[in-house]
Amino acid sequence: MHIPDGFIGPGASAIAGVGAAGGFAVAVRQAKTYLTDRLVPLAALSAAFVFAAQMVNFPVLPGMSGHLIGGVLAAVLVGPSAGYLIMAIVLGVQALVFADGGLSALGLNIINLGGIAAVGGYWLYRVMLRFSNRSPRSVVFVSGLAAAISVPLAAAGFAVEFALAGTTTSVSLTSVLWALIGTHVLIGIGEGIITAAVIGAVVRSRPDLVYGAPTYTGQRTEDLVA
Amino acid sequence: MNRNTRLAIFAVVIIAVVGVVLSQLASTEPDGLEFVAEQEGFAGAATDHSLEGAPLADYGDDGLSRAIAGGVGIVITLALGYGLFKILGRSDSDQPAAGD
Repeated sequence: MHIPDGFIGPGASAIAGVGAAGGFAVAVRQAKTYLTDRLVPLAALSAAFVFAAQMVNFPVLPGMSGHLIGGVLAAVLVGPSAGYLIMAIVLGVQALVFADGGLSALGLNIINLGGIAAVGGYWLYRVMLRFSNRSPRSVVFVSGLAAAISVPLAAAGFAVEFALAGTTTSVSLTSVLWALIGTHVLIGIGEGIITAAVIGAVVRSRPDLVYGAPTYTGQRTEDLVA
Repeated sequence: MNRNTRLAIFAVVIIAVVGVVLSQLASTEPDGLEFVAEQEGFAGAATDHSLEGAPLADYGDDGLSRAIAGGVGIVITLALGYGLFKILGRSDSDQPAAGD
């Protein structure tokens, strides 16, 4: 799900870079309103886990693999703004140290995986949690479900960017969109399972630290179920 | 050693196992985006990464360099995450009593 250089034109990539940087500034300001020292270790560990898990491509179809995005995972653990920052850190390190994800496409990748998957996926989680009984079990299930949906959502984000500013014009955009959504629905199943497993483990050991759980004892920028 | 320290160490061990050991078993098939790009005929638009020659580009090309790449990436993301969130986070004593 990392866009390489060359898929999207330089102008649109640059605009996305500015947008992603603006998103970073907003996320920093938001995160400052609730982050306290006791959340710092979990946030740092979340960044490292997302990096490590993204190295592990799992088979999905013959000839196709997928890997965790980790956006909903990070956002449910430490909040959507810190989740966005975690995705930006991971994507920046991958592009600058490991040549994974284009340098010119870094802004696009941060928008898709930080903006759409982490922040968008978190809001989806919040909305769906309202329809549950908000027990720890529901937190685990709903975060897995939101994570699963966040994968085709992020892929659809790329499809829109490709339609607006893709460098290849000889392809069918509807065919690209549906192929992206179809494949990423399947990858999303893995995303949902991994997310639910990790959220379940953290909720069991430190329910007070999980931002998206009703058992969280810190501050939030918004009411969880309002 | 208190419980929080034990939990953090446990988490670091799990993360290291994922990034250093489990990453060795990763599928090398194209991911969803690469797969679709090939099927739909726009994979050729991708250009080489500007840092393709970097020592750990693409997480190395054998098991050992992949293990090193995993370890290095974990240390960097852990350090950057800790640094950034430490700067942004208030000290716990500055905030009113926790509550929702």
